[in-house]
Amino acid sequence: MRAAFAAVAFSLCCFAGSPSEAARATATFCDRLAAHPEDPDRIVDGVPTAAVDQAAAIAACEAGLAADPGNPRLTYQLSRVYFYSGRSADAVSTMEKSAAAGYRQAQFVMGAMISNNRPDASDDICDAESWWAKSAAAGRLAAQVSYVRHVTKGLFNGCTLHVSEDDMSAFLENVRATGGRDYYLRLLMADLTEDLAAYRGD
Amino acid sequence: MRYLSLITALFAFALSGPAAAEGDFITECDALVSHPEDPDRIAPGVGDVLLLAGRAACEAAVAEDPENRRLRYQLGRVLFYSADTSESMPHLEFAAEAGSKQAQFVLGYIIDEALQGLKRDACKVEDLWVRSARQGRFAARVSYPRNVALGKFDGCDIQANTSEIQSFIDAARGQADGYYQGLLVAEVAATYAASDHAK
Repeated sequence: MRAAFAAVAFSLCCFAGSPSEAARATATFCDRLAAHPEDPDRIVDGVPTAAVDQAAAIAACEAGLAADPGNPRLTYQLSRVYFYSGRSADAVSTMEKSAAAGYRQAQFVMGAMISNNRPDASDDICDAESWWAKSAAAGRLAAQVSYVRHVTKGLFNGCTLHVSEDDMSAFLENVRATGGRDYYLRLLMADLTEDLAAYRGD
Repeated sequence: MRYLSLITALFAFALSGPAAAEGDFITECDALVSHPEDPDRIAPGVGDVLLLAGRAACEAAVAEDPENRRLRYQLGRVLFYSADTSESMPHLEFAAEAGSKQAQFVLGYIIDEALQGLKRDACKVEDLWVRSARQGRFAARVSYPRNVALGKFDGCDIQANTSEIQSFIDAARGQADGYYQGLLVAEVAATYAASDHAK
């Protein structure tokens, strides 16, 4: 085990230039300590919120990013732990970097932070619309659900909608098809499908 | 290997899971057929049940302890999954009447959905779910207010009044585990608040 970590450390410290995609697919300490269980792009099993060792994870993720600057997955994971440790300004600015780099989990969480009025997040709900539209288009189920729910409840009224009604229907189809047997998700889908039909005037 | 994993999981659950009632011990039926969301299970839950082995284990366990509502629910569960619906029902009914909040919810669910040829009976569902919700089962605490709000219990004696239904929703908000459950509770709260029943 120790040898494996040493190999990872070596690959991080001694890599010249930008890491390749293959190197970015190698699990780091940051991944092991801070991956989110529901992040579809995590490369190890996720760590539940209550089990995150915040100090160790921040150190690991900061070291990981020093070795691989701009890695959107590690950036997201660092932001996640900043958030848990109450460093909300750092969490938001870091999350935004990952989201801007196209990381769909970070895009979803950016929207959630705005929608939930988290400190230091934008107070413009239309920013949430924009992040969730991107995350949903990239296939993040939670963003697909949340986007449709906010539109049908009028919570994005006044915003430019970046998703068509047909695409919203396709989101719900996708969630239904991939959500498995989860009873609660099925109930939620049933309600949102009705809400979307009413919104569309079907 | 499978049994080694099972033994490890059972040992871990014995250390960390809900305490079994005095005199309760984990049977093979518990190990093979416990439902992951049954608040009264005494072993880790099993998502994909091994039907033949689970049935044999639960039939043996129920023969030993026929009044045990947890074992009767689990036998009902494995029989229902095996499409032995008519054999399953007496066990689910027994467990529900004996106070298993999981059996009350599940029996209501399969009747509400008219699964496997069962006859839909809204008022029976209402009665099962109100009892399950009163005992704290999260699924019943969201499903009961939702069905009331959608008018699915119209024509039945709705046993919970407005304030009790609201208390189910409030409690469910605290019990929700994960993003989707939280959204569902919010959705049910909004639907119920907008319904005639809440006024």
